[in-house]
Amino acid sequence: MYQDNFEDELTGYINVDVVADSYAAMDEYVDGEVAKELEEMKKQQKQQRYEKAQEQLQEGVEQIPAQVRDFIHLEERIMSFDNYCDLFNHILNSEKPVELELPNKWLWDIIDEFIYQFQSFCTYRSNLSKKAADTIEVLKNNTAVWNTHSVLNVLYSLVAKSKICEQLQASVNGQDPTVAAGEYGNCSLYKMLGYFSLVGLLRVHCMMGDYTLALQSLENIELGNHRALFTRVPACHVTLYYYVGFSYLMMRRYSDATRIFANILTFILRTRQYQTRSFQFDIVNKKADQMYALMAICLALSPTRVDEQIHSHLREKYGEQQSRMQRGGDDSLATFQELFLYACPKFISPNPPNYDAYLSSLSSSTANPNPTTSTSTSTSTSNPDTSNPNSNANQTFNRFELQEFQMKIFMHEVSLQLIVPTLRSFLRLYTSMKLDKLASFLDISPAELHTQLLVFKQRASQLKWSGGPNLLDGLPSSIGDLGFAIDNDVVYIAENKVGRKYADWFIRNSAKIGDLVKNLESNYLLPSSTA
Amino acid sequence: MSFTVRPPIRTDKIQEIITTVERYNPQNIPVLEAYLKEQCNSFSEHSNDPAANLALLKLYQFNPELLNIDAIGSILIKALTNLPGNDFILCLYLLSEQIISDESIVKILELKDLLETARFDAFWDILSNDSITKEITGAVKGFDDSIRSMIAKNISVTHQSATSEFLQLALNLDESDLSDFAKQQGWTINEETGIVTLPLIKDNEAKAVVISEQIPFVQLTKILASSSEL
Repeated sequence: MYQDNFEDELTGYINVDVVADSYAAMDEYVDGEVAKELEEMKKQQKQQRYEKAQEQLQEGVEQIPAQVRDFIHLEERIMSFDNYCDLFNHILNSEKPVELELPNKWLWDIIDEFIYQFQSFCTYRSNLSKKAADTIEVLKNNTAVWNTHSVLNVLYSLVAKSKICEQLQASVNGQDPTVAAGEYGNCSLYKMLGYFSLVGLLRVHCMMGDYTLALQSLENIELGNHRALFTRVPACHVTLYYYVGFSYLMMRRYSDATRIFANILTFILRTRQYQTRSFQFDIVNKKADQMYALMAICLALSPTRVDEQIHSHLREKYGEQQSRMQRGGDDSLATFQELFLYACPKFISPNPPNYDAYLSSLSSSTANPNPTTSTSTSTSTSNPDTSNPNSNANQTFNRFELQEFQMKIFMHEVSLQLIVPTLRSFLRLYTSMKLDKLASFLDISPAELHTQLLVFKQRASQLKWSGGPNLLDGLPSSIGDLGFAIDNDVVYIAENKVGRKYADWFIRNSAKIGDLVKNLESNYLLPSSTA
Repeated sequence: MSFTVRPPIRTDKIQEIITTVERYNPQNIPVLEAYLKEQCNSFSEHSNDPAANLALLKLYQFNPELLNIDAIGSILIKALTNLPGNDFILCLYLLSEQIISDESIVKILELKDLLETARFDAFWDILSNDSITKEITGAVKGFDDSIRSMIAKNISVTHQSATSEFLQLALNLDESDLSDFAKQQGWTINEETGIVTLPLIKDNEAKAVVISEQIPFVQLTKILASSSEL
């Protein structure tokens, strides 16, 4: 069932099919079209039933009070953390490499779940409202549990122990990675844990808003390489691309983000049939859907051509939103926001909230005949003690705060970029134009148009990755298919054109001639030779 | 300015801090703050080390009790000089709601918006008339000059020629200063018409490019292999 192929890693080329084959092998893929279709139908029915049940469950859940709704008790979270600590201590602190061989999928799940629980604990602890005072006491006394430093420590230690960075570096330089790996790094357990920890670091940094560090964690991991280790586990593959793409989007490198999303989405499309039977199928699908949303944002901000298949899927899913985003105005900002909130990762704060401040506000509000937690939230947000940001006392108790902060920064960037699509649609109609005439078409003053054109040029310059081991690298290049220049009071415009596509023509005609030859051979040549 | 290239101003100690787990050690805050001061005091193109400054912001994020709002201000001002690069926004993501509502930070955000919306005259206006802004930007040596060259760059990719009135306003220079500045940049001023001609570069030519498809041979190996089976 589970199949590994370690010896071929990081060498040579490979295409989608090889990876797809390995998926198929993993999942006991049954051949035969009819059987498959039946399967598919059954699956869809099951999926529909499941979705319906989920919906009902969701409705039911919303009626349950929040205290009861915290399915996972705090004690369980703490115990889970202790379990993880035991496991990682056992692995990291043994004198000799632990002799344990585990499937890659499991190893990925260990790291993935570890980070997921960390993130869900952070969300849990920062949502103090509606929590009983004794729960908060327990939280206060257990600050070491799911502490950001210990989580990072685990990931960094796994990376260091496995010497995975050195191994990757060596293979990039064409040296033998096993030499660099050392005693621990040569065990697949350590190696893979170290490797997945790098992806884990990408995710943790991203959740804390540090996109630079996030991309830096992936140094020497070659994204284009279809034989790289991350392709072994579909969920890891998708997670990696999702966070890389999201980081690029937040860094204002829209063309890089588009490239990353298009890459993985094509891959998901092409391997879809192999993935339906994987238990990670739902996760992959959900992430893919989020990535289509992010890609719609990228394309609205920085229009470029993408693969046709991806484009049609995108139009199917988010066509309406796309046209709304491109139209400009408040309506489009609302759409950006909606898509962003749907598709962004959960952000976390590295520090626990100020429990004492909340407890005291809780006790003061119980003295109040109308104890509402919402007052404490609203007063602390509407009246921040700006003169003294060093104190934590005015920290809000709102779990959406971080989400909102990252979104606010991003949306501000979007609002600056928003003039670009409108201006672009006008500019591409002309090859030269008086400034004041164009301004009157756009219904703005010539001075305003002039500043908009300057902004357009500013925004067109983006860093663009151009190979190399580090994802942060990039050359400043001007993005977009439109060039223009102002000559005093005239603007000259030139639109880039796409040349003829030969490859497609070549492939189609090769296939055609192949068919023709086959046809000829079977119909004319073969009978005569047998006769 | 790239994050991955080590600027010449960076010492081995700083390099060690920002490339190892030492970057989580709060004891390094004073070291990075001193380094930031050094960056602010020496003015040259290579005096900016955004990677080190991000590491400092990260330490503040983890240790909010050690936060130094003036240092954050300096980091942002430094990042302003690097617009339209993305340093500034990367710094912002590491801050919090409270920090960006601080009075001095609000001012800096205002400056950034003016620069990014190309309202240069308003920018210079605030810079010379608002006392708080003056004070914060004064802490960074050569701030005016680096902003001026940034604006000049923006103009030179957009314009083939422009009126000298516009340039004077956008660059905050009077007539004689402008002619010096123009010489430096290789711009020529026509005294009679007051039109300044800027040299043609790739970005202000407005030439249409035909984008042609590049298919590496390896991508066609499959179809070639299948044709040989016939």
